Amino acid sequence: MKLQLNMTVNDEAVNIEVEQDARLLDVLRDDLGLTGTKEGCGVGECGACTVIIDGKTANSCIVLAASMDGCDIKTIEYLSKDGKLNPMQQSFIDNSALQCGFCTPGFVLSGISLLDRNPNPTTEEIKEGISGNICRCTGYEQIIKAVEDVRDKKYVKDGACNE
Amino acid sequence: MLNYFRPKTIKECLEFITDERVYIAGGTDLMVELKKGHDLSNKTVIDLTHIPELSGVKKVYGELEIMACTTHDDIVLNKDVNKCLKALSLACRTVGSPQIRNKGTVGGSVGTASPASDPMPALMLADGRVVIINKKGEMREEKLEDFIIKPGVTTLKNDEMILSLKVKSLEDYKQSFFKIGRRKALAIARLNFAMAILMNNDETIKDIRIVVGAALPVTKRFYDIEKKLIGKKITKEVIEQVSKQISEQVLAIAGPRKSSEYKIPVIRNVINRMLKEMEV
Repeated sequence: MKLQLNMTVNDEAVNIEVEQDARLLDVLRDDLGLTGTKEGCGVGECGACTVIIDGKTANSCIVLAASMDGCDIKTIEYLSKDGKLNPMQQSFIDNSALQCGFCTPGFVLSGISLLDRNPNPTTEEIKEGISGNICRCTGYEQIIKAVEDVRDKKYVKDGACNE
Repeated sequence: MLNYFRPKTIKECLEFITDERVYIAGGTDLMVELKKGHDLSNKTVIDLTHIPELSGVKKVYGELEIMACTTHDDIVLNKDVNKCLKALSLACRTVGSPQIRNKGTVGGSVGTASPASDPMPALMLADGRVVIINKKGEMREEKLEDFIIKPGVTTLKNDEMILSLKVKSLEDYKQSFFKIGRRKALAIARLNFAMAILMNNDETIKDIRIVVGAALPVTKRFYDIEKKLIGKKITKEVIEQVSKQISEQVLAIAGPRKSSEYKIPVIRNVINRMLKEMEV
Protein backbone atom coordinates (compact mmCIF):
# COMPACT_ATOMS: atom_id res chain seq x y z
CA MET A 1 0.00 0.00 0.00
CA LYS A 2 1.28 3.41 -0.90
CA LEU A 3 1.23 6.43 1.28
CA GLN A 4 0.76 10.09 0.45
CA LEU A 5 3.71 12.26 1.39
CA ASN A 6 3.99 16.05 1.41
CA MET A 7 7.40 17.54 1.97
CA THR A 8 9.59 20.39 0.80
CA VAL A 9 12.69 19.42 -1.15
CA ASN A 10 15.15 22.16 -2.07
CA ASP A 11 12.46 24.81 -1.56
CA GLU A 12 9.93 23.06 -3.79
CA ALA A 13 6.75 21.47 -2.50
CA VAL A 14 6.74 17.76 -3.27
CA ASN A 15 3.56 15.75 -3.18
CA ILE A 16 4.27 12.12 -3.87
CA GLU A 17 3.08 8.57 -3.22
CA VAL A 18 5.69 6.36 -1.58
CA GLU A 19 5.90 2.77 -0.40
CA GLN A 20 5.41 2.58 3.36
CA ASP A 21 8.88 1.13 3.89
CA ALA A 22 10.71 3.28 1.31
CA ARG A 23 13.89 5.02 2.40
CA LEU A 24 14.24 8.77 1.92
CA LEU A 25 17.41 8.08 -0.09
CA ASP A 26 15.50 6.05 -2.69
CA VAL A 27 12.69 8.58 -2.96
CA LEU A 28 15.24 11.37 -3.56
CA ARG A 29 17.24 9.43 -6.12
CA ASP A 30 14.67 7.30 -7.91
CA ASP A 31 11.45 9.29 -7.66
CA LEU A 32 12.83 12.83 -7.68
CA GLY A 33 15.96 12.22 -9.75
CA LEU A 34 18.22 13.93 -7.20
CA THR A 35 21.17 11.61 -7.71
CA GLY A 36 23.69 13.90 -6.01
CA THR A 37 22.80 12.07 -2.81
CA LYS A 38 24.83 8.84 -2.84
CA GLU A 39 24.39 5.45 -1.24
CA GLY A 40 27.55 4.11 0.33
CA CYS A 41 27.19 1.72 3.25
CA GLY A 42 23.40 1.81 3.51
CA VAL A 43 23.55 1.52 7.31
CA GLY A 44 24.19 5.10 8.43
CA GLU A 45 27.93 4.90 8.88
CA CYS A 46 29.62 6.48 5.84
CA GLY A 47 27.64 9.69 5.41
CA ALA A 48 27.56 9.60 1.58
CA CYS A 49 23.77 9.92 1.72
CA THR A 50 23.80 12.97 4.03
CA VAL A 51 20.98 15.46 3.52
CA ILE A 52 19.74 18.32 5.69
CA ILE A 53 16.35 17.73 7.31
CA ASP A 54 14.75 20.68 9.12
CA GLY A 55 18.17 22.28 9.44
CA LYS A 56 20.06 19.24 10.70
CA THR A 57 22.10 16.64 8.86
CA ALA A 58 20.86 13.06 8.64
CA ASN A 59 21.77 9.87 6.81
CA SER A 60 18.95 9.53 4.26
CA CYS A 61 19.65 5.78 3.93
CA ILE A 62 18.24 5.21 7.41
CA VAL A 63 15.38 7.68 7.25
CA LEU A 64 11.94 6.31 6.54
CA ALA A 65 10.51 8.43 3.73
CA ALA A 66 7.02 8.18 5.21
CA SER A 67 8.18 10.00 8.33
CA MET A 68 9.24 13.04 6.26
CA ASP A 69 5.70 14.36 5.96
CA GLY A 70 5.83 18.11 6.57
CA CYS A 71 9.63 18.17 6.67
CA ASP A 72 12.02 20.49 4.88
CA ILE A 73 14.78 18.65 3.03
CA LYS A 74 17.83 20.07 1.37
CA THR A 75 20.15 18.06 -0.84
CA ILE A 76 23.44 18.88 -2.53
CA GLU A 77 21.48 20.08 -5.58
CA TYR A 78 20.19 22.99 -3.51
CA LEU A 79 23.57 24.65 -3.15
CA SER A 80 24.53 26.11 -6.50
CA LYS A 81 22.46 29.00 -7.75
CA ASP A 82 22.39 30.38 -11.32
CA GLY A 83 25.43 28.35 -12.27
CA LYS A 84 27.47 29.64 -9.33
CA LEU A 85 28.80 27.24 -6.79
CA ASN A 86 28.31 27.57 -3.06
CA PRO A 87 31.53 28.69 -1.27
CA MET A 88 31.90 25.25 0.31
CA GLN A 89 31.73 23.57 -3.11
CA GLN A 90 34.26 26.02 -4.56
CA SER A 91 36.57 25.53 -1.60
CA PHE A 92 36.47 21.72 -2.04
CA ILE A 93 37.56 22.20 -5.66
CA ASP A 94 40.26 24.75 -4.83
CA ASN A 95 41.69 22.56 -2.06
CA SER A 96 41.54 19.34 -4.12
CA ALA A 97 39.40 17.95 -1.34
CA LEU A 98 38.02 15.20 -3.53
CA GLN A 99 39.24 12.43 -5.71
CA CYS A 100 36.51 10.04 -6.82
CA GLY A 101 33.89 12.48 -5.51
CA PHE A 102 31.46 9.90 -4.15
CA CYS A 103 31.68 11.14 -0.56
CA THR A 104 31.81 14.83 -1.52
CA PRO A 105 28.11 15.77 -1.42
CA GLY A 106 27.91 14.42 2.13
CA PHE A 107 31.07 16.21 3.26
CA VAL A 108 29.97 19.50 1.71
CA LEU A 109 26.61 19.36 3.50
CA SER A 110 28.23 18.40 6.83
CA GLY A 111 30.66 21.31 6.43
CA ILE A 112 27.87 23.78 5.70
CA SER A 113 25.76 22.45 8.55
CA LEU A 114 28.69 22.80 10.95
CA LEU A 115 29.31 26.44 9.99
CA ASP A 116 25.60 27.21 10.28
CA ARG A 117 25.71 26.06 13.85
CA ASN A 118 29.19 27.22 14.78
CA PRO A 119 30.52 29.93 12.40
CA ASN A 120 33.99 29.84 13.91
CA PRO A 121 34.93 26.22 14.64
CA THR A 122 38.41 25.11 15.68
CA THR A 123 40.16 22.47 13.58
CA GLU A 124 39.19 19.94 16.25
CA GLU A 125 35.54 21.02 15.99
CA ILE A 126 35.71 20.72 12.20
CA LYS A 127 36.99 17.17 12.60
CA GLU A 128 34.07 16.39 14.88
CA GLY A 129 31.66 18.09 12.50
CA ILE A 130 32.68 15.86 9.60
CA SER A 131 33.12 12.73 11.73
CA GLY A 132 29.98 11.17 10.29
CA ASN A 133 31.46 11.17 6.78
CA ILE A 134 34.04 8.75 5.49
CA CYS A 135 36.39 9.37 2.55
CA ARG A 136 38.45 6.48 1.21
CA CYS A 137 40.47 8.38 -1.42
CA THR A 138 42.05 11.65 -0.44
CA GLY A 139 42.41 11.52 3.31
CA TYR A 140 40.95 14.27 5.42
CA GLU A 141 43.58 17.02 5.42
CA GLN A 142 42.32 18.72 2.27
CA ILE A 143 38.72 18.37 3.37
CA ILE A 144 39.46 20.03 6.72
CA LYS A 145 41.37 22.77 4.89
CA ALA A 146 38.40 23.31 2.58
CA VAL A 147 36.07 23.87 5.54
CA GLU A 148 38.65 26.12 7.23
CA ASP A 149 38.87 28.32 4.15
CA VAL A 150 35.12 28.88 4.17
CA ARG A 151 35.24 29.52 7.92
CA ASP A 152 37.97 32.11 7.27
CA LYS A 153 35.65 33.87 4.80
CA LYS A 154 37.99 33.32 1.89
CA TYR A 155 35.03 33.21 -0.45
CA VAL A 156 33.07 36.21 0.71
CA LYS A 157 34.03 38.55 -2.10
CA ASP A 158 34.74 36.28 -5.03
CA GLY A 159 32.34 34.87 -7.55
CA ALA A 160 30.94 32.01 -5.51
CA CYS A 161 27.34 32.43 -4.49
CA ASN A 162 26.62 32.99 -0.83
CA GLU A 163 23.74 31.28 0.85
CA MET B 1 2.34 -5.75 4.30
CA LEU B 2 3.29 -3.47 7.11
CA ASN B 3 0.85 -0.94 8.45
CA TYR B 4 2.38 2.48 8.98
CA PHE B 5 0.86 5.05 11.32
CA ARG B 6 1.94 8.59 12.05
CA PRO B 7 0.06 9.81 15.13
CA LYS B 8 0.19 13.48 16.14
CA THR B 9 -0.59 13.09 19.84
CA ILE B 10 0.12 10.52 22.54
CA LYS B 11 -3.60 9.86 22.86
CA GLU B 12 -3.87 9.08 19.15
CA CYS B 13 -0.73 6.97 19.36
CA LEU B 14 -2.17 4.75 22.09
CA GLU B 15 -5.11 3.92 19.83
CA PHE B 16 -2.78 2.42 17.21
CA ILE B 17 -1.01 0.08 19.63
CA THR B 18 -1.53 -3.59 18.77
CA ASP B 19 0.33 -6.75 19.81
CA GLU B 20 2.26 -6.50 16.56
CA ARG B 21 3.42 -2.94 17.13
CA VAL B 22 6.92 -1.70 16.32
CA TYR B 23 7.90 1.86 17.23
CA ILE B 24 10.10 4.02 15.06
CA ALA B 25 11.67 7.20 16.45
CA GLY B 26 15.12 8.12 15.09
CA GLY B 27 15.17 4.92 13.04
CA THR B 28 18.92 4.58 13.50
CA ASP B 29 18.47 0.97 14.67
CA LEU B 30 15.25 -0.11 13.01
CA MET B 31 16.20 1.08 9.52
CA VAL B 32 19.47 -0.83 9.76
CA GLU B 33 17.55 -3.94 10.84
CA LEU B 34 15.22 -3.44 7.88
CA LYS B 35 18.22 -3.28 5.55
CA LYS B 36 19.55 -6.51 7.06
CA GLY B 37 16.29 -8.18 6.09
CA HIS B 38 14.34 -7.87 9.34
CA ASP B 39 10.78 -8.69 8.35
CA LEU B 40 8.25 -5.99 9.21
CA SER B 41 5.39 -7.37 7.14
CA ASN B 42 2.20 -7.73 9.18
CA LYS B 43 3.66 -5.39 11.76
CA THR B 44 2.11 -2.13 12.85
CA VAL B 45 4.85 0.49 12.53
CA ILE B 46 4.07 3.47 14.74
CA ASP B 47 6.10 6.57 13.89
CA LEU B 48 6.70 8.62 17.02
CA THR B 49 8.48 11.52 15.34
CA HIS B 50 5.39 13.65 14.72
CA ILE B 51 4.30 13.84 18.37
CA PRO B 52 5.58 17.16 19.79
CA GLU B 53 4.66 16.14 23.38
CA LEU B 54 7.19 13.30 23.17
CA SER B 55 10.18 15.57 22.86
CA GLY B 56 11.93 17.99 25.20
CA VAL B 57 13.26 18.18 28.74
CA LYS B 58 11.31 19.39 31.79
CA LYS B 59 12.80 20.32 35.13
CA VAL B 60 10.63 19.51 38.13
CA TYR B 61 11.48 19.27 41.84
CA GLY B 62 15.14 18.27 41.67
CA GLU B 63 14.46 15.99 38.74
CA LEU B 64 14.65 16.13 34.98
CA GLU B 65 12.03 14.48 32.83
CA ILE B 66 13.47 13.73 29.41
CA MET B 67 10.74 12.88 26.91
CA ALA B 68 11.38 9.68 24.96
CA CYS B 69 11.88 11.19 21.50
CA THR B 70 14.37 13.83 22.60
CA THR B 71 17.36 13.35 20.29
CA HIS B 72 20.93 12.97 21.47
CA ASP B 73 21.69 16.31 19.87
CA ASP B 74 18.78 17.99 21.71
CA ILE B 75 20.29 16.68 24.94
CA VAL B 76 23.77 17.94 24.08
CA LEU B 77 22.28 21.41 23.53
CA ASN B 78 19.97 21.38 26.55
CA LYS B 79 21.03 23.78 29.32
CA ASP B 80 19.20 21.97 32.13
CA VAL B 81 20.81 18.64 31.27
CA ASN B 82 24.19 20.32 31.04
CA LYS B 83 23.71 21.81 34.49
CA CYS B 84 21.99 18.94 36.30
CA LEU B 85 23.38 15.85 34.61
CA LYS B 86 26.56 16.82 32.83
CA ALA B 87 27.52 13.15 32.41
CA LEU B 88 24.50 12.69 30.13
CA SER B 89 25.51 15.65 27.93
CA LEU B 90 28.99 14.20 27.68
CA ALA B 91 27.63 10.72 26.91
CA CYS B 92 25.24 11.92 24.21
CA ARG B 93 28.08 13.84 22.59
CA THR B 94 29.91 10.55 21.98
CA VAL B 95 27.00 8.77 20.28
CA GLY B 96 27.65 7.76 16.64
CA SER B 97 28.18 10.86 14.52
CA PRO B 98 26.48 14.24 14.10
CA GLN B 99 24.00 12.65 11.67
CA ILE B 100 23.15 9.86 14.13
CA ARG B 101 22.88 12.27 17.08
CA ASN B 102 20.47 14.43 15.08
CA LYS B 103 18.09 11.49 14.62
CA GLY B 104 18.68 8.95 17.39
CA THR B 105 16.60 9.40 20.55
CA VAL B 106 17.25 8.69 24.18
CA GLY B 107 14.02 6.68 24.47
CA GLY B 108 15.11 4.58 21.52
CA SER B 109 18.50 4.00 23.07
CA VAL B 110 16.83 2.73 26.25
CA GLY B 111 14.11 0.77 24.43
CA THR B 112 16.50 -1.18 22.21
CA ALA B 113 18.44 -2.18 25.35
CA SER B 114 21.81 -2.34 23.63
CA PRO B 115 24.51 -3.16 26.20
CA ALA B 116 26.70 -0.54 24.51
CA SER B 117 24.22 2.33 24.87
CA ASP B 118 26.15 5.50 25.72
CA PRO B 119 23.37 7.43 27.48
CA MET B 120 22.57 4.41 29.70
CA PRO B 121 25.48 4.71 32.21
CA ALA B 122 24.74 8.42 32.64
CA LEU B 123 21.02 7.77 33.15
CA MET B 124 21.73 5.05 35.73
CA LEU B 125 24.15 7.39 37.49
CA ALA B 126 21.18 9.62 38.31
CA ASP B 127 18.79 6.88 39.53
CA GLY B 128 17.13 6.85 36.10
CA ARG B 129 13.55 5.63 35.85
CA VAL B 130 11.51 4.80 32.78
CA VAL B 131 8.02 6.23 32.61
CA ILE B 132 5.72 3.90 30.70
CA ILE B 133 2.17 4.31 29.45
CA ASN B 134 -0.12 1.55 28.23
CA LYS B 135 -2.92 1.45 25.69
CA LYS B 136 -5.47 2.21 28.39
CA GLY B 137 -3.52 5.31 29.40
CA GLU B 138 -2.30 3.80 32.68
CA MET B 139 1.21 4.84 33.69
CA ARG B 140 3.93 3.06 35.57
CA GLU B 141 7.53 3.83 36.47
CA GLU B 142 10.39 1.40 36.67
CA LYS B 143 14.04 1.76 37.64
CA LEU B 144 16.30 1.36 34.60
CA GLU B 145 18.13 -1.47 36.35
CA ASP B 146 14.87 -3.42 36.54
CA PHE B 147 13.59 -2.34 33.12
CA ILE B 148 16.53 -3.79 31.17
CA ILE B 149 16.46 -7.58 31.46
CA LYS B 150 19.19 -8.59 29.02
CA PRO B 151 20.59 -7.33 25.70
CA GLY B 152 17.63 -6.35 23.53
CA VAL B 153 15.05 -7.35 26.13
CA THR B 154 13.10 -5.07 28.49
CA THR B 155 10.00 -5.40 30.64
CA LEU B 156 8.01 -3.28 28.15
CA LYS B 157 4.78 -5.12 27.33
CA ASN B 158 3.18 -5.21 23.90
CA ASP B 159 0.47 -2.74 24.94
CA GLU B 160 2.99 -0.26 26.39
CA MET B 161 5.28 2.48 25.19
CA ILE B 162 8.07 4.52 26.76
CA LEU B 163 6.88 8.02 27.56
CA SER B 164 9.93 9.55 29.22
CA LEU B 165 12.96 9.07 31.42
CA LYS B 166 13.22 10.65 34.85
CA VAL B 167 16.59 11.36 36.37
CA LYS B 168 17.69 12.96 39.61
CA SER B 169 19.50 16.28 39.34
CA LEU B 170 23.14 15.79 40.31
CA GLU B 171 23.83 19.50 40.03
CA ASP B 172 26.22 19.62 43.00
CA TYR B 173 28.21 16.57 41.90
CA LYS B 174 31.33 16.54 39.80
CA GLN B 175 30.63 14.28 36.86
CA SER B 176 32.44 12.51 34.11
CA PHE B 177 31.74 10.14 31.23
CA PHE B 178 34.33 8.15 29.36
CA LYS B 179 34.03 5.85 26.38
CA ILE B 180 36.45 3.46 24.77
CA GLY B 181 35.77 2.41 21.20
CA ARG B 182 37.86 1.25 18.29
CA ARG B 183 37.89 4.71 16.76
CA LYS B 184 36.62 8.09 17.85
CA ALA B 185 33.55 8.57 15.67
CA LEU B 186 30.90 6.01 14.76
CA ALA B 187 32.32 3.51 17.20
CA ILE B 188 30.28 1.18 19.34
CA ALA B 189 31.59 1.44 22.90
CA ARG B 190 33.75 -1.42 24.14
CA LEU B 191 33.68 0.03 27.62
CA ASN B 192 31.88 3.08 28.88
CA PHE B 193 31.93 4.68 32.31
CA ALA B 194 29.95 7.30 34.11
CA MET B 195 30.96 8.69 37.48
CA ALA B 196 29.67 11.34 39.87
CA ILE B 197 31.27 12.50 43.11
CA LEU B 198 30.13 14.80 45.90
CA MET B 199 32.90 15.75 48.34
CA ASN B 200 32.76 16.94 51.95
CA ASN B 201 34.71 20.03 53.02
CA ASP B 202 37.37 17.84 54.63
CA GLU B 203 38.11 16.20 51.26
CA THR B 204 36.36 12.96 52.12
CA ILE B 205 33.75 11.44 49.84
CA LYS B 206 30.17 12.36 50.72
CA ASP B 207 28.62 10.39 47.85
CA ILE B 208 29.99 8.58 44.85
CA ARG B 209 28.28 6.87 41.93
CA ILE B 210 30.03 4.54 39.50
CA VAL B 211 28.44 2.91 36.42
CA VAL B 212 30.07 0.69 33.83
CA GLY B 213 28.52 -0.32 30.52
CA ALA B 214 29.31 -2.04 27.22
CA ALA B 215 31.70 -4.60 28.75
CA LEU B 216 28.72 -6.20 30.48
CA PRO B 217 25.50 -7.70 29.12
CA VAL B 218 23.59 -5.08 31.10
CA THR B 219 24.98 -1.71 32.24
CA LYS B 220 25.68 -1.90 35.97
CA ARG B 221 25.93 0.53 38.85
CA PHE B 222 28.36 -0.62 41.53
CA TYR B 223 26.35 0.16 44.67
CA ASP B 224 28.44 -2.12 46.93
CA ILE B 225 31.73 -0.50 45.92
CA GLU B 226 30.22 3.00 46.18
CA LYS B 227 29.01 2.38 49.74
CA LYS B 228 32.47 1.35 50.96
CA LEU B 229 33.97 4.59 49.62
CA ILE B 230 31.84 7.03 51.59
CA GLY B 231 33.87 8.93 54.17
CA LYS B 232 37.19 7.99 52.56
CA LYS B 233 39.75 10.29 51.01
CA ILE B 234 40.75 9.69 47.40
CA THR B 235 44.24 8.29 47.64
CA LYS B 236 46.31 6.24 45.24
CA GLU B 237 45.58 3.14 47.30
CA VAL B 238 41.83 3.76 47.26
CA ILE B 239 41.86 4.21 43.47
CA GLU B 240 43.87 1.03 43.05
CA GLN B 241 41.44 -0.86 45.27
CA VAL B 242 38.34 0.45 43.47
CA SER B 243 39.80 -0.31 40.04
CA LYS B 244 40.64 -3.84 41.14
CA GLN B 245 37.17 -4.44 42.58
CA ILE B 246 35.42 -3.10 39.49
CA SER B 247 37.65 -5.09 37.14
CA GLU B 248 37.04 -8.27 39.15
CA GLN B 249 33.30 -7.79 39.12
CA VAL B 250 33.24 -6.95 35.40
CA LEU B 251 35.23 -10.08 34.59
CA ALA B 252 33.13 -12.22 36.93
CA ILE B 253 29.92 -11.13 35.19
CA ALA B 254 31.16 -11.01 31.60
CA GLY B 255 33.29 -14.14 31.92
CA PRO B 256 36.86 -14.45 30.73
CA ARG B 257 37.37 -13.10 27.23
CA LYS B 258 40.35 -12.52 25.04
CA SER B 259 40.09 -8.87 25.97
CA SER B 260 40.03 -9.51 29.75
CA GLU B 261 43.72 -8.98 30.22
CA TYR B 262 43.46 -5.66 28.46
CA LYS B 263 40.45 -4.52 30.42
CA ILE B 264 41.92 -4.49 33.94
CA PRO B 265 44.67 -1.90 33.36
CA VAL B 266 42.27 0.04 31.14
CA ILE B 267 39.67 0.25 33.88
CA ARG B 268 42.31 1.46 36.34
CA ASN B 269 43.63 4.10 33.95
CA VAL B 270 40.17 5.30 33.03
CA ILE B 271 39.15 5.73 36.66
CA ASN B 272 42.33 7.66 37.33
CA ARG B 273 41.75 9.85 34.32
CA MET B 274 38.12 10.55 35.21
CA LEU B 275 39.04 11.54 38.76
CA LYS B 276 41.68 13.86 37.40
CA GLU B 277 39.18 15.39 34.96
CA MET B 278 36.70 15.99 37.74
CA GLU B 279 39.48 17.64 39.76
CA VAL B 280 38.76 15.79 42.96
